[in-house]
Amino acid sequence: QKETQELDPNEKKIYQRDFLMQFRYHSQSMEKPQGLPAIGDIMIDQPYPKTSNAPP
Amino acid sequence: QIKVPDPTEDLAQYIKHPLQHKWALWFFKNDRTKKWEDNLRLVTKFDTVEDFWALYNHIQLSSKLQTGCDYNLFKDGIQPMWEDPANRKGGRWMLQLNRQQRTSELDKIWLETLLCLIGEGFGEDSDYVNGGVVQIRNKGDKAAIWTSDYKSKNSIINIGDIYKKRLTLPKKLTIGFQAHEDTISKTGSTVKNRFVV
Repeated sequence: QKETQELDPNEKKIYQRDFLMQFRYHSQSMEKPQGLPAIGDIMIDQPYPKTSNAPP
Repeated sequence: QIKVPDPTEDLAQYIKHPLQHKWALWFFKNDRTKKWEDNLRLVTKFDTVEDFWALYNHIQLSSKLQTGCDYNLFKDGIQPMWEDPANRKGGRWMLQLNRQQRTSELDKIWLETLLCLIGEGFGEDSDYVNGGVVQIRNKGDKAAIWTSDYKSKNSIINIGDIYKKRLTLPKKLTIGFQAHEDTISKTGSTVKNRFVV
């Protein structure tokens, strides 16, 4: 799949599963988002590492 | 010597991949001492592929949530509730899991649901998609895609077909679509399916 920058801006940005998955462990995807509310039930400090038995 | 810039190396130059929509993640926790609306909290909004993963990588997996909790991912501007005008005439394709599937399947199913949503996985019919919900329940967890107008039969069925394929469900296993108005007005414990795929 082509990079979006090359696509027509009026075209719907459709991303296939494999395309999305390749960014999962990108350095930009490993930075904790700023300003998340302190909801103890859901927040984790460290991302799950990229391992062979990593969760889905 | 001229160095060719590598966008993945130079983060200042890196352009994140924009999504078609901005999405909002909501968290619901069933606390009976509070009003329903107060149990529903907006976690954050994002509109790029990388920001989606940054969020996903820093929140708990569905299978680790307490019973009675939900994650809701909805297009920005649509509240994750029946009462929202975008949902009022809509419904949901719902997958009811058994208790064993929390360990084996739930996280995979929810991630696939998220990827279908943010990647506009339903093509042109993605316009009918409002969001997705995962619910952690004692009697069996649930995952669902919420749509608008259930009377747009062809689009709704197409969304169900694609969802079923993306979840790689066995052909013989069916999923049903319920209109919210039927769920609201139900008298028994079951809601009739408007469509099945």
